Amino acid sequence: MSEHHGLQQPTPARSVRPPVIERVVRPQDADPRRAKRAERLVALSFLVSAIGTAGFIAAYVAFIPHGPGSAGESNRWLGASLGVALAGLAFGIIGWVRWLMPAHETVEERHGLASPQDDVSAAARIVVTGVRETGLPRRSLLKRTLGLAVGLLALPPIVMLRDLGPLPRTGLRTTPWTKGSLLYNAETGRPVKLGDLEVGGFTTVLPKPREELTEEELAKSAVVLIRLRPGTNKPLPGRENWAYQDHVAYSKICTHVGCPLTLYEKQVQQLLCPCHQSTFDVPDGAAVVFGPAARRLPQLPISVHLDTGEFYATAGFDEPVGPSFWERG
Amino acid sequence: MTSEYHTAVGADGARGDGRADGRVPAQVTRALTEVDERFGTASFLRRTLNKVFPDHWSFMLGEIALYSFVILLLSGTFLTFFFRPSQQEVIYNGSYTPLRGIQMTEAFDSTLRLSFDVRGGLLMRQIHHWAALLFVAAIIAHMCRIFFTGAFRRPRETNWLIGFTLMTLALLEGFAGYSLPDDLLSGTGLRIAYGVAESIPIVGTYVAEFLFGGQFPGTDLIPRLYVVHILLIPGLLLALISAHMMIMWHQKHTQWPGKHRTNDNVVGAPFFPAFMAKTGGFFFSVFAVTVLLAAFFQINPVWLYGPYDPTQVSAGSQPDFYIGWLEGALRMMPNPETNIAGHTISWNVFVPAVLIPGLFFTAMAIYPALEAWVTGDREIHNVCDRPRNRPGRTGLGVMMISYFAIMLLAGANDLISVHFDISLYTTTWIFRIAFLVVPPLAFLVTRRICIGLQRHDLRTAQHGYETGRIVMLPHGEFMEVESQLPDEEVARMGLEYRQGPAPELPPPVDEHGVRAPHTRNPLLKVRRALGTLLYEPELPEAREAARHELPAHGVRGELPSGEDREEAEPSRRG
Amino acid sequence: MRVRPLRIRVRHRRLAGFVVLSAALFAVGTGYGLATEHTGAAAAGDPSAQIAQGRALFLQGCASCHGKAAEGTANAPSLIGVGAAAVDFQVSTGRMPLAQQGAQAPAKRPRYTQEQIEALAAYVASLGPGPAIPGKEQYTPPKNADLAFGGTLFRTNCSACHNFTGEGGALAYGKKAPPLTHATDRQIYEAMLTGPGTMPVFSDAQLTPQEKQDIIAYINAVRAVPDPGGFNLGRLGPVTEGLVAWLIGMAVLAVVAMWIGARAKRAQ
Repeated sequence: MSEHHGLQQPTPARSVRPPVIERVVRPQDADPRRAKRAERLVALSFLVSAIGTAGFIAAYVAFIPHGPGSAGESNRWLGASLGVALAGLAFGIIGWVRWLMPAHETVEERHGLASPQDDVSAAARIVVTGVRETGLPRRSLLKRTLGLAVGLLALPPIVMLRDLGPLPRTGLRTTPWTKGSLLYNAETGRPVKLGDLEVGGFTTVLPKPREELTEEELAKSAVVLIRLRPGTNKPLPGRENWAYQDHVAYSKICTHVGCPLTLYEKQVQQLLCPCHQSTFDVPDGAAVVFGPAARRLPQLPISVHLDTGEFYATAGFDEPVGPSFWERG
Repeated sequence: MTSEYHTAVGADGARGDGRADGRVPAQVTRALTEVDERFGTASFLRRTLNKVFPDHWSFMLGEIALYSFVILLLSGTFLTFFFRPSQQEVIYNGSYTPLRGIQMTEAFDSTLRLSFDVRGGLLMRQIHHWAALLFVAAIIAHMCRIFFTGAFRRPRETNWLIGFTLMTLALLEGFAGYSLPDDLLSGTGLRIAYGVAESIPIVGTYVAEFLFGGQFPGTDLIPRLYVVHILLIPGLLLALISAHMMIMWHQKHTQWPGKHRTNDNVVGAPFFPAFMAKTGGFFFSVFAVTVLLAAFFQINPVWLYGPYDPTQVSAGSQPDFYIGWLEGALRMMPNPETNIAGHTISWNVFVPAVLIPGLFFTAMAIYPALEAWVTGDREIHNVCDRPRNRPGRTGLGVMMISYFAIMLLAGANDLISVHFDISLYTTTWIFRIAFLVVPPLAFLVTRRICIGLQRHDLRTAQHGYETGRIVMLPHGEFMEVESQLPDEEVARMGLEYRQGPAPELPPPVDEHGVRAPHTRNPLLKVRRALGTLLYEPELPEAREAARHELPAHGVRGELPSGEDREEAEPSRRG
Repeated sequence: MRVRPLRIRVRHRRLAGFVVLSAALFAVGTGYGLATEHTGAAAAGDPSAQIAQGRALFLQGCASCHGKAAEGTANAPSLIGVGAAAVDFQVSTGRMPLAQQGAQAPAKRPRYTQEQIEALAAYVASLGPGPAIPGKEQYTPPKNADLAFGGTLFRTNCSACHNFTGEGGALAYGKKAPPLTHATDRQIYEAMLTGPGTMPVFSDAQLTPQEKQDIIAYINAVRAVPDPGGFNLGRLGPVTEGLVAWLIGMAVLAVVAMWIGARAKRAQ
């Protein structure tokens, strides 16, 4: 393999540097004027860098950010000056090494990483002897109890993780929607009334005004109320009275991985998830027509108080909202 | 400096060839002695400062990652002084008017304050984010370089594994950091992460609730991610990067084939001062590029996204590119879900978000072992493979890249739909089909191209370049003059490092009627089949020809001795 | 005051309050026979003459698809009852008349003058009741509009299609939600009111005119916010950022690396 026998020859014995195998003579090595020019360019580059740093300090003092306009100004000047400072340094150093430092190709032998066979066998003998000295191979009682003790020590760190969170209980199955919940507009907090929505309208509703919900409740109780074109709703069997005068309510949380479905297309009457484009056909019980979601959106049965005209839920959801999980069933 | 030295010394007058030792000033010796008597550093320095590093741009991709990491530590430390990792709700009252008066978490509030009311805060945020993108991009590019040049082979398998772990940690680190500001975009990402965790069979709900401290969104996640992002993963990264560098240092860097370059030496520039200056200059280059990007290209404008609210979402919600392929996998997956005995498995989430990444990453991690097993290669390799000289491996690499590229593009399918006027569902179908069809094609095409390039190398090595000059010979025959390649060019082709033809196997049935082991053991059969598919150097019909065409003489860098350099050229005509 | 030009008067009244502006404009506008581009619902001339002019324009440019009496055909919906606001939106954004059948009508240069659009709108409005063209005081957000609340409403109701910053986005079946970058206040208001194309309708009971103004104020504010971080990359989020990281960041660094690693130039 090794064909580098001639390696040491070109270099004299008193050399302390790696042997040169190709002496590279660049134009500036042969011509001092060129070398001087290169030196000046490198120095200029360092000078530009120094000016950049000074500019950075000046920009820091000069621009006080307060809001996007001034923050933008500050960002541009600070960034540009620091960028010049760093780029000047980078260009100077690289130019210096490329133009002025020797460019000779040097060589270094790779001494095999493997130790001499002698060391290997000695090390092996030491290991074996040492293990014998511990007596472990003979004293199996020691071995087993030690194994038990050390092995058990792995458990506390795992056990300690227990309190990272509560055990999943009913949280994934329940929402704050119950029989009689009014449908509050998610942003304005007004209970939605019959007639608020035009045909082709939709809105996000909550079972309570937003302030009365925790973040966790908010995250699972968002519902879209949609007014379909008259006569287009085809209720699923058993859900004939879940809609009210072309108004239907479905969970807004996608059954795929839980993004809120806010993209409603009035013409085709479909809800589309902007995250992964699962598409649900609203008049058809929110059946999946495209995309990675596997299940219909859970439907909220609704009706209207005849005196106030306010929508209310006639029951809570009859299935968990949001993405699937192992225990969902 | 006298004039006779001009041809032999560097432009600065230093000879750099070991002969310009000169006199050493007494102070230097004294200083070194002082340190050496306490720490014994001189021997170390002698070895280290003379260490030779090979020069090639592709060897600097890992340095981009290293220096981005340094920049991340610097800018990240600054950010921690101002960022508040809390999901406590506050009312924003800062200088960005379109959000003033809105309820948001302290995390988002402090990010806005940091961006708009702290000098250099926005710059540091943008530097941090750009550096993060460059960090992961450089890791990926570096990993591709290692893969395509076979630099993961013995003795460097361990460093491949460490590098792989670094890459995985970098992805997690990036996702954690991206989630910290608690804006509408990153919050949507966390919502998806919760849904993905829920999809894991049996333990999914436990994983989700333990990670988030209960139901989504909870108030624990941001503080937890913060500790993971600024302490746990950076600590691991720091430790593993150190190990990665020390092993690389100890094993010495690989080098490209070339004149004088062998498996047993390293040709290049000494560490001190040339390599030090090169890498130092490169550090400042990486820093400068990051800072200039941060100065002139806006990144992650969270104020435009608004605070996270679980009832809101935006069109075009994408994660950073290194997570984008996961998003794409989720988007293009069809929607199977099973419900057996009261237990739901949502394959539509579990497969693209857990199973496929798991399989792909496992394949990447074990690839060196897999290749060694199939090829039976146990040699020490210090010379890089040229990708064309390993058609099968190069094909596999391109195949893997095409898988990720298709998933990544699918993650941006809504933007593609809008900006290229393709119907949304059509893009999904294009990517679904492409995911099945393109990668195998990429493998075959790449492999074939590599073989073509190999043949081209072989031909030019033997016959030289075509000059286009036609001459008429005395007897009337016309022929084209071919110019011979310089030796260095031929050596750079690494022809002698090409894969030899696959080892001949004993006949399936020997003269005694006993079947050979490789025909019986199914594992050996698989190994044999993979070996034929992946690591055969040539197409079958060309293999025989190649065996005879291989130059039989030493193009491998034979070192010239002394002044006989010019004459020592090995004859290529053999 | 009586002799002052109309424009000044409008501004003065807006500052003073704008409860009766629409009616005043109508009276003044009729008297002077003036119709400027921004006077909205007020139209020039005799209403019946305007309707007649609109009908003529309709028969010429719209009836081939929408039917002679705007009753709709297989190619286009009925316009009876869509209201003047829908006509104003569709024609002033250039969506109508359609150049060719497609998944949706793209915005382009408007074909008709504002006067003609108002005539068309008046004609369609005469066919059946529908939302009228909003007056300037209706759609112009006041100075003290609740930006932040408008933003919240925007993110709940609009951003899923039009994106965080109103850059638009993809819809199903080849449709897209258009960018809001060039939409005027009136067009945004009319869009919410009438739900053009596949866009849902946001009635005044669901989003009050004031809330609609808040949304418009937010859209305007976000459009006007300078991008403090530099070039905004189309405000499209991480996708373009990733492209820049690779195509600029990594590419520049690769070039620098090539310079560092390049073979030194030899003398002679």
